[in-house]
Amino acid sequence: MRRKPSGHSIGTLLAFTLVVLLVLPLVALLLSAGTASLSAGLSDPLFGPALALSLRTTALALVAIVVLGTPLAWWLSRSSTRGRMLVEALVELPIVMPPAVLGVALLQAFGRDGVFSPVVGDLGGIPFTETAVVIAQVVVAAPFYVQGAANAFREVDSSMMGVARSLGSSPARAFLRVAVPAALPGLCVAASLAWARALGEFGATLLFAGNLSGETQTLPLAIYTALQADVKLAVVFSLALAGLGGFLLLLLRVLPRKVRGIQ
Amino acid sequence: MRVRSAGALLGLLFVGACGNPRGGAQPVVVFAAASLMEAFSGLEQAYEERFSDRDVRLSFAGSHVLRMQVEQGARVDLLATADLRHLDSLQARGLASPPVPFAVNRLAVVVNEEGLEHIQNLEDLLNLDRIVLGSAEVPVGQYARQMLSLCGDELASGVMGRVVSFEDSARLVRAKVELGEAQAAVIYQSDLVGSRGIRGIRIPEHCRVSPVYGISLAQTARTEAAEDFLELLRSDVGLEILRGHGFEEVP
Amino acid sequence: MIWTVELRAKLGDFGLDVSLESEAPTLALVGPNGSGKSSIVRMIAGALSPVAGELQVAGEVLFSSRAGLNVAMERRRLGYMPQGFSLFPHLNVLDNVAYGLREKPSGLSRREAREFAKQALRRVDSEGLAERAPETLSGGEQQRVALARALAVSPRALLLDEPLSALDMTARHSVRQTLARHLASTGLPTMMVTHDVRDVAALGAECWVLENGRVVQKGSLGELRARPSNAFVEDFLAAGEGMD
Repeated sequence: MRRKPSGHSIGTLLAFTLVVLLVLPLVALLLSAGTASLSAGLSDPLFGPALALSLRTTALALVAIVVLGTPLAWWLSRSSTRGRMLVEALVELPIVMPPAVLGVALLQAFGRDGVFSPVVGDLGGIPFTETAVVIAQVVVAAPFYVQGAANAFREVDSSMMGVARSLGSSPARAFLRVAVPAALPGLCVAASLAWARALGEFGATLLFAGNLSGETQTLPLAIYTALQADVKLAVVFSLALAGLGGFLLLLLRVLPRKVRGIQ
Repeated sequence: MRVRSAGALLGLLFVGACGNPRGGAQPVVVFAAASLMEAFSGLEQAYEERFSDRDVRLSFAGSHVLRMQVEQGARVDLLATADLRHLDSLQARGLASPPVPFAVNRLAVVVNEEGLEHIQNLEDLLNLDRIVLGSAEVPVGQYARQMLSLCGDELASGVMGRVVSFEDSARLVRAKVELGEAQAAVIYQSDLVGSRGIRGIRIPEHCRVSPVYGISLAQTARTEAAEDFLELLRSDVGLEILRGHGFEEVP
Repeated sequence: MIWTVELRAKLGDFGLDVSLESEAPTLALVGPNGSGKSSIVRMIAGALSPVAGELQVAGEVLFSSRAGLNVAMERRRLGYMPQGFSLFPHLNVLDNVAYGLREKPSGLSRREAREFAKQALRRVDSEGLAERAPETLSGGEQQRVALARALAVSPRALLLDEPLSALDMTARHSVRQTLARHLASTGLPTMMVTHDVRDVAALGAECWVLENGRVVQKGSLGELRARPSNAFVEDFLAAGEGMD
């Protein structure tokens, strides 16, 4: 009986260490920014457009990720073919690739010197536009959603889907009325992770979309720019981004429970 | 109710972003080296005061990143870099006009308070153990190497051995010294204007390097508005702004 | 004919080959694990497709390889209760029961569907559970609700895959009584997979004994007692003796 508590306290210590490691930089950020520089920083001309752009592009990216990623995640959760393993590996590839590599890859795909430009012609000048920002975010963040959503769908019992069918639901209706709501908490967590990843996206955006205030300069890029002009400013922007991210992550975890409560 | 107000806020964001505050005219897009940040922001203000119906958009990064973006099809009107090499290569590919030199800068060796305790002159850099330079791809890094080799091989190799990081632009180099991560760095004299807690040390005459800044019209430029910007840059007003931020006139 | 079950399919390492007809309203599929009982039920429900054969339930052709017909699962109108508890976790009891009433062919409004669902719950003595969440129910309560949900859409037959095996003694007895009472009063054709001879007795079902994908004996409990075809049947019959 002695062992159990000591094993338990070691576990607590390890967990505590990790939490401290994760939270410490944020606390340092908070301490290093005084309230005066906070209000000055938030009224800087770089901040407003970058915040609006970040919210708008990540919202669009999230919609695209959920709309395109949900059917894929469902297929991944149900299929047992060998092709599934391959698709799964391909989908997760962007997680292990440095974002800068993805940015270069996107330029090679859609850029003026792109691999496909002789075939499809100039693709309407996608690079260095807001569309490019959204594409970069989708590519970088979608794997987090697809992976999480597929795991959430795997928890949905297939005999439960059979029951829905026997009660008159077509496969599509059964998916919408049973699989999605039953997996909703998991889907929301996956979506919030993807959203957070899109919000923090920097490397692929810088290379593929550029860094133009009001057009392609998202909050992380504004932080990068501010770091070159005024370190204090960068600290304030970072704090705003961290606060925003924390708030929305929390919201997306509380929301599914509220929705359930209403039903 | 909460849902509706959230929707309204979202709608506002979208509309706010799509509406052009300056009545639909295409903005003049200027890509500029990081070290030009404050000077060009001043120029932007002067330009928009003179042409109240026009809008200037600035993007700052290391010169090599800007060049890469232009090569990959970024729509841009003007491109200003801290050396002429990147502009020459863009011109050779037909992507930009021949570069026009518009300002001269000087290299500066800077130290923060910690570094200041150990240093009297350039040779004392060898008393330090955390120095930051620009990477070999960016002008500030190339000029720094050039300056060090002018000062002598011993100092050059000694300094290179004490470098803890090669940064991507002059401003990222400066930020490292300001944050105390490095004790000393080589940046531009213009970067000292508006910096916090760092000081330049005297550089002997024989190892001075004076970078020449160039600007080109991009192939994608809408020439009239862009040429107006170029004209302003080279006018007395422009020179005054450049001087105010630590730059010098092209001889 | 109420049941025409003619099925050929490949199942793992053995083949399913069954060809039977019956006029008995209530059937019990018995046999050792892996003999193909659940597969037959799933094929009739439409969750699994046979290679060839013919399926008719209560005069309706559901599958016919000769005619090239395979009615979609959602149009077979069969009340299907798979193994285990399969209530929808995101809906309360009333909305679970109302689920199928919102779909074709019923197509009721939410309010009408809930009204009907209340009646369906009453028929299985569970109207008090209407507002509860599935995870707060006992096993017996869950099976009653699942039964009400299957019955609410007025299916042409009921397919039950070991509906009582996960329940404790008391719950098993009371759900069995409810089921028997309901089937006796409606005469709804029912096929049930079971390991418990008391289920067969309570429902007065005709037994189909399966072994390795084939039916080895067919008959009432009395007929099985008179001439048990193998050791499994003997054990199956013996398990019930002295327990009731």
